Amino acid sequence: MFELSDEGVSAALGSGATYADARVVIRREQAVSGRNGAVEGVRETESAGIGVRALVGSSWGFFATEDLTAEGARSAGRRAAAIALASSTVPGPALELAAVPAVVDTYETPHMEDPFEVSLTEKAELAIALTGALMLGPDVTKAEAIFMFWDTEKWFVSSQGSRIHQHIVESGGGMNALAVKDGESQIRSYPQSYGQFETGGYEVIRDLAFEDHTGRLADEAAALLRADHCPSGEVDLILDGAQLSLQIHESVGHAIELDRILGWEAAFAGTSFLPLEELGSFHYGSPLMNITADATIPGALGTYGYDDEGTPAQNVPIVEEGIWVGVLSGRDSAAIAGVEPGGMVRGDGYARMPMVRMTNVGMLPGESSFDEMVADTKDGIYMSVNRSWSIDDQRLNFQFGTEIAWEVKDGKLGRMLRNPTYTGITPTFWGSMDRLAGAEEWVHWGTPNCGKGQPMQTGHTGHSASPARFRNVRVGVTG
Amino acid sequence: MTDPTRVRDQLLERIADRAEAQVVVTIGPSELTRFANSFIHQNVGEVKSRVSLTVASEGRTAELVGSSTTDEGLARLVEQSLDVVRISPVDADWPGLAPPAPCATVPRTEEPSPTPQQRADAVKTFLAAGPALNGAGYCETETLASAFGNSLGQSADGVATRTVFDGILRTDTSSGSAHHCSSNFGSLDAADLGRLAAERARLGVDPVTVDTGIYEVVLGHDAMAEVVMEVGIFGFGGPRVVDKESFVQSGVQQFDPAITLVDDALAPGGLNYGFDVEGTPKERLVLVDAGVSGGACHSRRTGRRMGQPSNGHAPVGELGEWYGGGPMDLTLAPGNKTVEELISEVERGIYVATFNYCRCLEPLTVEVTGLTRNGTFLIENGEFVQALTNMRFTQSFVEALAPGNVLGLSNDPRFGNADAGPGYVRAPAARLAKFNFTGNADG
Repeated sequence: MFELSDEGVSAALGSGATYADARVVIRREQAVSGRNGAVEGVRETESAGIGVRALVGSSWGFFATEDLTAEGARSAGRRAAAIALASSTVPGPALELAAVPAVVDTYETPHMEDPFEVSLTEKAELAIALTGALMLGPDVTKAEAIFMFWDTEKWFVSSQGSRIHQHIVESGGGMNALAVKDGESQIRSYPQSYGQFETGGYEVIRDLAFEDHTGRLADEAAALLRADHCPSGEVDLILDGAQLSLQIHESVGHAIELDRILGWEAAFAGTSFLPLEELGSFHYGSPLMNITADATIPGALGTYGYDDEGTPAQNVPIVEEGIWVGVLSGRDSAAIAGVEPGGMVRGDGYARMPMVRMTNVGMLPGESSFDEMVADTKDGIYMSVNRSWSIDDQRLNFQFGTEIAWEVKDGKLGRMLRNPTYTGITPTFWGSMDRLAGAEEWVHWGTPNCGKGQPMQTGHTGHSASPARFRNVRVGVTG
Repeated sequence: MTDPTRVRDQLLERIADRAEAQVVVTIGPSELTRFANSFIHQNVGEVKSRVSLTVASEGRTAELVGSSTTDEGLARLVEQSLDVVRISPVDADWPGLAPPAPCATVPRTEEPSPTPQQRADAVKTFLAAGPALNGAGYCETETLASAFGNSLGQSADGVATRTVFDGILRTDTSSGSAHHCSSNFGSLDAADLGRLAAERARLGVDPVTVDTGIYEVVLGHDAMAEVVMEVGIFGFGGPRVVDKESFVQSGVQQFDPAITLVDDALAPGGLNYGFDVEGTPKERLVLVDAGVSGGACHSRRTGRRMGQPSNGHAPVGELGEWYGGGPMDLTLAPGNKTVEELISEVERGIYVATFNYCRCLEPLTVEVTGLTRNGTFLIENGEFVQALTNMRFTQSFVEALAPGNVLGLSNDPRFGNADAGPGYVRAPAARLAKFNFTGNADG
C-alpha cells in the first residue's frame, strides 16, 4: 500500500504542490446491538481508500477516493493539488510547516484478543442477555446494549520522507435501561452514557463485566422516577470520574485545540476563550488541576504511534498546577502559533482531511478519595454519569446534566435526586476544585463520538479522570 | 463515475437465491471549501462511495457496508455477508423486505458539478461584503446518485443534489451569520449572504448582558429550524413513539393553531430521494395540522412494532441512524407577516438569529438547553434597541409552540441551519410569547 501513497504524493508534487502526504486507510468496523432481550442489529462496515493532502503556497487541498489503483492514487494527488490551487486564490498568510523528523516505522496498539475473531453469536448473545436482564426491572420500558469494534490500518507517506504503517485496534460498548412513567423518562447507563471504549481487543468487553451491573441499573432507573427533583441553588458539587471526563472533554479538550484558538473553527464549532498570548500564565483552574494530552497511554482510546502528519505521539503538558501551558496542535497551526507540533492531527478515515483532534486529554490524579470528599462535605450533591451537555461557542458557559445524583449531608450520601444539572463558567468552575481523588479511582475514559469539522468527522478521544469536588456550583437549572 | 444501478444489479445477481437481500448504493462527488480569518484554510473533495447490503436468511439478518465498487470488492461483500448472516442470531423483529411499489422521482435542475474555483469565487464574493470584518464558513456542493433494489423486485433510483453556503462575519465584539441551502448551485447569491451577515455583525457590536428570565421572542429562520427539528425528531420519530418517549397524542390539540408541520421529501425544492433506505416510497405526512398532532414517521421495523406499515421513514444517513429514523424533510407552514412586522409587534422581547449546541434534556417535553449565537438583540417598542451577549435558554419546545404561544409566523420559510445540519427543515421566523433564558455571559 505504500506504493499507492507514493503515487498520490508524486502526482500532487508533479501538479504544483510544494508539500504532499497521502494515507491509504483500510478500516473495518463491527457493531452488534441488542434491544429488549432481542438482537437489534448486526453491522459490519469496511472502508478502504486513499486521501491525498497537497500544499500550494500557504493553501491546502485534499482529495479522497476509494479507487485503490495506481491511477486512482495519481488522480487523487492531481485533484488535491488543483483544489489547493483554487484555495490559493483566497490565500492566508505565508506558511512554513513546523519541522518534524522523517520517520520510517510501524506501530500497533497492544491487544490480547482480536475482537473480530470472537463470534458474532457470542457478542449478540451477550447483548440479548444483558438487555433481557435489564427489562426485568420495574418500570423499565426499554433496554439497549451495543458493542463496537474497529480495526484500522494506515499507510502514511509524506513528501519529506516519512513512511509509517500503523495498526489500531479499538473495542468497547455500553448498555442502558430506560424507565418511563407519568410523562417523564429516566435512564441509567453502564459504564457511562454511550459506553466505554479503549484501544485493545475483546478483553475490554470481558473486563467491564456488564452482567454484574444490570440489576443496579434497572433498579436505579425505576427509583429515579420516584426520586425528589434536584434542588436549585449553589452547593458543593462532587462529580464522578465519568462525568468529570466529559467536563474535561468539553471545557478543556476543545478549548485548547489550537485551530479553534486561531479562529479556524469560528463559524461552526466556535473559537476558544483562551488568549494565545497568555499561554504560560493564564489561570485555568485551581492548583490541583494538572492536565496532560498524552497519546502514549497504553489502552486509552486516544492512543497511537504517530498522528496523520507523521508526527510521533507525545505526552504534552496542558495545565500545570492550574496554569495553562499547552495546546493541541498540528504542523501548520504550531508553526503559526510558534509552538512545537504536538502530533495531534488525525483524520476520520481515508476520506477526511486530518485536523487537530484531542488525544488522551486527562486530569492527573490527586491525593484525596471519593469517600474522603463525601465525608468532608456538609451540604452538597454528588452527580454521576452524563446525560446532557451543552457549552457555548467559546467553551466558556456550560450546562451539563447527569443521569443520577445523591444529596450529601453532613458527610454522608443521602436521598437520590432526579434530573440533576449544573452550570458554570469554565475557569471559575475549575478554579473551585478543591479535592481530587487519587490514582486508585483514576480511569482512562474513552469517547468514541467526538464530532468536529466540516465535513463532519468523528474522533476517538480519551480522558483520564477521577472524582473531584467543586465549591459553590449552581445546580438545578430548569426550564 | 461508477453507475450505482450497475452496482446494485450486480450485487443482487451475485446473491441470487442464496438469501433475501436489500441493496442501497450511493455514489457521487462531494466537495467542501472552508474559510476562516477571511481565507480558505481547508478545501476538500471526495468521490463518496457507499455500498450497503442487508441479507436475511432463516430468520437471521446482517448488514454489511463497503466502499469498494470493483468486481472483486462486490464479490467479497456478498460472500462476507453470507458468512456473517450464517453466524448471526435470529432477528425476531425482522420486518421483511419492502414489496414492489412505485417511487416518485424528485425533480432536479440539471447542472454540471461546480468546480473548486467556483466555490472559491463564492467565498471571495461573500467576504467582499465585509472587507473590514473577519469571515468564516463554508461552501459545499454535492451530487449523489443512489440506487435501491431488493430480492422481491423493488427497485428505485434517484439523484440528490445540494449546495450549502454558511458564513459568518465578525467584528471584535459581534458576529452575524447567513445561510443558504438549495438543490442547485445556480441559486446561490453569495453577495446577498455577505450583505446580510455584515449588516447583522455591525448591528451587534458592543453587546450588553440582560437579566435572565422569561421573554417574548422573535426567533429567526435558523433558530426556528432548530425548534422544529427537535420537535419533529423527538415527537414524531418512530423509535420514540415505539419506546413511549414521545409527547405526541394523535388527534389532540397540542400546538397553537398557527402550527402546521409537514414531512414531505417530494415538496418542490426538496433535497432528498423519493424512497427510503428500505425501498419504501416516502409518504407525505401531516405531523401537525393547525395545532393538532398526527401520526408518526415509521420504518418497516418501527411500523411493525406499532402494527402499521412503513411510511418511508427508515433512518437515512448518519443523522438518521443517530436518532433512529424520523422526519428528515420537514416544513413548517408559513404565516403572513414579514420578519420586520413580527419584530415591530413586540413591546419588549429578544430577537435570536441562531441557536448553538442544543441538547434535549427531557424527550417527553422536548425540554432543550442551548445558547443564542450570531445575533441576539433586545427589542423594545418594535425595534432593536441593544445588542445582547449570547444567552443560555432552558425551554420546552413543545410548550414554546403550545396553544396561545405562537403570536406570528413569517411568510418566507427557507431551509434553516439547525444544530443537526443544513437541509432538514424549512421554517419561517416566529414570534413566540414565552421563552425561558436561564443564563447569560456571566453564568
